[in-house]
Amino acid sequence: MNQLLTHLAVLETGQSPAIRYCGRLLSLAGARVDYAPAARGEELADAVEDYLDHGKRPSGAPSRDYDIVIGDPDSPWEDIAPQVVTGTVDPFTHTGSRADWSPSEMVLASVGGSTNYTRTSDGTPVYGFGRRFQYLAGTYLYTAIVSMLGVEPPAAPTHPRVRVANDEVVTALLPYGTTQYAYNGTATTVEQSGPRFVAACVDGYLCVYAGGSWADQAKLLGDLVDPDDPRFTAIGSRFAHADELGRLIQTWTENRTVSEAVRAADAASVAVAPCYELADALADASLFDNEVLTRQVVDGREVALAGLAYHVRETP
Amino acid sequence: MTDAQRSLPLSGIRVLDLTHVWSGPSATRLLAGLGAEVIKIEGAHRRDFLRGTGTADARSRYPDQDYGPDPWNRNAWFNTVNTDKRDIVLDLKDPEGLELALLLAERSHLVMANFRPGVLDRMGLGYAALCERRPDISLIEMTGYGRSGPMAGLQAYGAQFDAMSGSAFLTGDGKEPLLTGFALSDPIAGLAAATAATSAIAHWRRTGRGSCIEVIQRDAMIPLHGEYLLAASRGEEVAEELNADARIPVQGMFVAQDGRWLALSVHDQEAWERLCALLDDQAGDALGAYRTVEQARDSSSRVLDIIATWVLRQEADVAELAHRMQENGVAAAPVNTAAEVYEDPDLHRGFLVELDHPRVGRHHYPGLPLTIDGRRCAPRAAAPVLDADTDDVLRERLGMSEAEVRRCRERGVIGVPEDLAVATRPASTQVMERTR
Repeated sequence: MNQLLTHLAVLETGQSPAIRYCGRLLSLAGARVDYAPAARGEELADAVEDYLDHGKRPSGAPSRDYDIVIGDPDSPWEDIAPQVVTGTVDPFTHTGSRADWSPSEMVLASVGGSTNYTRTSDGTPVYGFGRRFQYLAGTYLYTAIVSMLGVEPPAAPTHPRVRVANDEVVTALLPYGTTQYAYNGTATTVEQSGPRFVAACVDGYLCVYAGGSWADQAKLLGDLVDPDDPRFTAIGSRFAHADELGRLIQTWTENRTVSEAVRAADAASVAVAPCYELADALADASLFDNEVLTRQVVDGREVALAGLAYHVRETP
Repeated sequence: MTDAQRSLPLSGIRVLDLTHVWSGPSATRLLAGLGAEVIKIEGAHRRDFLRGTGTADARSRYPDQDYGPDPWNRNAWFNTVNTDKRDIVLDLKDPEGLELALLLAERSHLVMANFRPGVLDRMGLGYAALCERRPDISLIEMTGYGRSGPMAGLQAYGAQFDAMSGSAFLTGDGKEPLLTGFALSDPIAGLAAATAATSAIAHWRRTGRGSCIEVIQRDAMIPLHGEYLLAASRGEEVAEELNADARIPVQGMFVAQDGRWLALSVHDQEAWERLCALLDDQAGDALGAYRTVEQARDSSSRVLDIIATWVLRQEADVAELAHRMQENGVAAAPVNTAAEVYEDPDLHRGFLVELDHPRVGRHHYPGLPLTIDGRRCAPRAAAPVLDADTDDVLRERLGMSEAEVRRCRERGVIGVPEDLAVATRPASTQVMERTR
């Protein structure tokens, strides 16, 4: 039912994770996605290749046979017909001083400002993992390209018509750090999400969001806290005393199982969630019920494949 | 409509925006940036939570750390996420206010909302009700955990989605989870909703039919580490060490003399040789003992120590170090704070754009990270003041007369009551029924 773009033919001429992820999204939305084998360079790791290329097929057909062509910045963009919607992802703004820089997920996350937000307990910045910001750049490309479908193109467009800058993607997804800096010259990050904690339980870890009602949290934490404690009643001061609150939450969870803690928090209307490992996510039937994960056969073996993050419920 | 908006792909598309907080408004922000007219509906007593909690809010969100007389119009977060939108205030609990919303929906192509499951239906704005007014309308409904199931009614925030996706363990060292330092899953869910919206619009443009699409925010992060889930599902050992990447032989984070950090990734043999040549004799000799990048990978702990010692000895700042490495084909970058990001000249070529806001003055706001046909998708207008466009929208879109608008305002069906219009509101920790 998710397939709103079944009428489309897409040619993928790049090898970057961003382009291939965009192609995957188009494929999941029902488009026929072909890739040009000649454009593929070094192989990605098996699981990455299998994930990104599932549902696509190799083809040597010319670009004029397609509605959409997506490729790396140095793909051959000449001779593409005006009506074809085209797009690319530049690792760095192609007109900027970093246009020739070598990217990696860590480099992108760091220059764009995301890495700065996440720290270990000893203050080491942590960029994340994988290729998330590159996939998110591919998602921006999908959104822009699909928005252009059915719109009359310019008479002689310059291809690629859409250019997404991966370093800007990182900054675009941050809360409001640049605006805060513009408003008052501060670059603090702790207030840019509600106070949240990971606390150890007897059998796992619990994520606790402490940005909601203090009255509810006080009810949950019981004798450990004073419901009128000025350190925690208002959100502004709660940020300032986040470490103290974190220790109290840890005291509350340390003798409880994750299930017990979740039940108690749900009853008190405090937002919590278990911290899943990958195996927990794979064992969560709701992810399969929602079809964000599906079981597919790849190379003769059944695997879990992630799908689209949206679900078409009705198309009258 | 300006020429700039007219040239954008969603020019002429009208979106009725019932979203609030971060994830939903970030989706409609993207649609507005692509040219759609986005009409944001708030309530006089139920304004968007991202406008802040008044004088109990974090001061860092306000110009000069001053709440001002109307903090709900001066909040950095709201003002970042809501550029290019129009704002109207309706009382949706009043039958006349609800009818105004439905009349606006009739004249819209798409409605987006992120309430808890069932709320939109109970409000009288569910898909069936919308289709009665406009059969080809599309609805994008963002829920936290889905419309049904044991978690459907629970409070839902970005941190929880991060935790339940498996990404916190991948971010950490595999032994203990580490949440991303901001609620990344919120804008990710927003981006997923925007993909749904443009897909629905493309479908409508081709077929004349609308769609009802659900975006489950908890699920939106899952596809971003799909390869890890695939590998785990076929029994492969999947773990990433802190700041490492199994596909990148040498990668790490290194602190410099000034306390700032350098991110470094060495992808292959060529980059490895260039890095060794860049480092001075002592460190270069030490690294040279590992002739191949795979040998370096096998001794990563020792290799990273050598690089860390070298970085700490350098007097050049990390931006200079990163630049030097990049000039020599080695992927490196400074870990930038918001200040460094803001001060980056590259971002002032069309991504960070100055806009005038009537309550906070002239400041830079981020646009979309893309160009279309050579033109930046830059923000065109600052975030709206509460109730700024109610009268105009009702006149323009519904053809209401001045007298009709005035009557609605006097009845309290639209607009902000006088006593709320200017006074600083007391802090409130209770917010409206919501998801993120």
